[in-house]
Amino acid sequence: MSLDRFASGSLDDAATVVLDDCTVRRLLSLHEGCHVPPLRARLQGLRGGRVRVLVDYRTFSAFCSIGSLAQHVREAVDDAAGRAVDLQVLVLGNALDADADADAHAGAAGARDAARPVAGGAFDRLVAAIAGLVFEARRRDESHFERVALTLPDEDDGAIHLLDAGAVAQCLAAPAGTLPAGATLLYGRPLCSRRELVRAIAEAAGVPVRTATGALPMDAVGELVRLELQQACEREGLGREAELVARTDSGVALHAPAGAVAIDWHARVQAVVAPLRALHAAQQAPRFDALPGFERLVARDGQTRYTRCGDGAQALLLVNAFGLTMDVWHELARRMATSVRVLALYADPAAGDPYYGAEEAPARFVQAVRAVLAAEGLASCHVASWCGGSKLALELARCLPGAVSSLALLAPSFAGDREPDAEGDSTFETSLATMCQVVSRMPASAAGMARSMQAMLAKGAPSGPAAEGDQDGAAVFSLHDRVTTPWLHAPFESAERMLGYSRQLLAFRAHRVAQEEASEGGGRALPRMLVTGELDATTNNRRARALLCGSGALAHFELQRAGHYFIHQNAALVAPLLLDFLHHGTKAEPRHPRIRRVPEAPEMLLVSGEL
Amino acid sequence: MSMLDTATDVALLPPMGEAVSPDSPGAVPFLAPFVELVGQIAPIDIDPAEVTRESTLAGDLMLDSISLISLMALTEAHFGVALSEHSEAVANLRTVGDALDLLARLGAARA
Repeated sequence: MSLDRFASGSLDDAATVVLDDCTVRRLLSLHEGCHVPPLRARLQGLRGGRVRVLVDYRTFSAFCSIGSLAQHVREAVDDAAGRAVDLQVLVLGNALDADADADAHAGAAGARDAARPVAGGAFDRLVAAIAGLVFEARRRDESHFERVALTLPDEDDGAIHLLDAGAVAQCLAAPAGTLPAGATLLYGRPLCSRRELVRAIAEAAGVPVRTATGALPMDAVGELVRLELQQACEREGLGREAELVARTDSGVALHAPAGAVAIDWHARVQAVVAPLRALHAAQQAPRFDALPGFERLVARDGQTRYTRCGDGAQALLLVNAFGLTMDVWHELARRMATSVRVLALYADPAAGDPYYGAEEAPARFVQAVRAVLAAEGLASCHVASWCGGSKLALELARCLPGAVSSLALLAPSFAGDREPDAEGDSTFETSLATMCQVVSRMPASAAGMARSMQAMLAKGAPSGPAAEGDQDGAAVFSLHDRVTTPWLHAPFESAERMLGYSRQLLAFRAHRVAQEEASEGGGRALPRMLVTGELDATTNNRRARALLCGSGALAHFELQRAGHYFIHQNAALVAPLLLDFLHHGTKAEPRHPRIRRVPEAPEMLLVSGEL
Repeated sequence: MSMLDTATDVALLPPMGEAVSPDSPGAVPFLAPFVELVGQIAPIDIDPAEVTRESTLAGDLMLDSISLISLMALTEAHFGVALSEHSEAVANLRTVGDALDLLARLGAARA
């Protein structure tokens, strides 16, 4: 427990009691505010003196005010002590400085990015999040910031506030009369402005900066940086949210402990950004088989080959796009495997691609999944598909309704599906289908076409340099990154591969998954999540939504500034959302400002609004 | 909606390597057969009468990079030229006229 260092005092005269997240939740869930075992245990022997209760603002701010929390504490403490106690409730309004417990608020912040070499606390995580955005843009286009410099936040965009742990300890050790009885908010003084912080991060990352002007307003990355700053400051307790709320509550005293925060924030920025920069410079395409605990297994039928990593009680089956390596899942699978068992089929050298590489592919796929579940001793699993894996995922839910716990469709493609009211293929899907038809009809042309595709991909099209007129640089987020590009080359590495890929694509397009089929077999009770990228031009997001909305409850989330490959490029955003979905179904909530929930029926809302 | 959503869409192909005679005297060489091939590939309905040498492949005919690769494969088979060895020139094609000129050059070289 991060604040336990402050718990002290003899039970005979005075005590400082720290309320952790769990105790706070328990306290707030009780109507009478009584019978909180940890408090009772801590206070039962107390015969006199002041009781100081220390609690972090973020543990309760979503549920009640400071005054209300103080009242709950009062009732619980009096009950635990068996009398009216001289009580002081000290609320930490800001995060403690970097050396405080680094993971104190990991739960509140959602799943952490284990790859980030960040060892410090809230401040370091904020720096890593901002730097992460900078490197996300540079992975897509190394020279992006040479064309569109990073816009700094405005001078009046606020500051970073931290509490010095030593100063807090002094407050707690101070004589009883130093701070008033009742509730007091302890808040930190400014460490640096947000503008100064972004400037320092940009400098450490080697990125040019500029100031927004009327003629040249905020750029797209700068806008995301500003969003991230706002959200991370709230999440990590680095802003003035608690202080501003407390100032409106006459029952709450405010106190800023004396003394500056004893961290060299410039040095911290350098310490966090330098390894991220080195990681960026050295980054190579990740390999799925390099995941921690990765195993290749064969099911009891002796034919079905699958992979496993992670050992959670719950299992998540990944359904990949045909023809592409599982490596594209690496970043997401690595994050998921810390919580669930991650399973995937892989190619049998004899039978070929596990998806559309054989006759009667959907039926074979369903049978293979049945064999995997049996081998793993599982009655059911969650299923997450990407791109062309969508139809097989729906097929699985239809054929084995009891075996699929939930269905997450990530950037799904339904190319070739022609529902009466649904939209058609994207331009890319149409062009790719045309090409594969040509290859299929003229196999002799495959070698030349494969070479042309390789040349086109090497040149950068269709994800070449940002388009002209892209003044704010938003187009960078629709580009492939340098890791993605080799994966795109794979189906076109030889005439043989191109022929195989073309066969699979045509089989995929011919695979029909009608709405009625998807809703049969208990499908209506199946939690389903659709995640789309705002800038995904590979598939038709509107069609995916239209096809899925007609068959049961659906949670639809859109990743802003994200393209088709977000399972790789934005895995740090997707993993917490997917984990939340596995736990809470369609009630999952986005925890990042780049993810928005698409309303269930925007057309209906519009009509209501007009009325 | 694509014209090519069934497996029989790409069907009007002569045998591989069989050269096709240029258009009638006075017409733009190769234009008619080339436009016919474009019609098999383009994601929009093409009116052959409205396609000229000045028509742009990307803007007027809505051909993206991948469509262009398909078109070149059909063109190779139809006109008996080897475009895949000229990927740089193909990548720089902007108009129908550019494509016809390239075909003419390659055809002349072959002759």
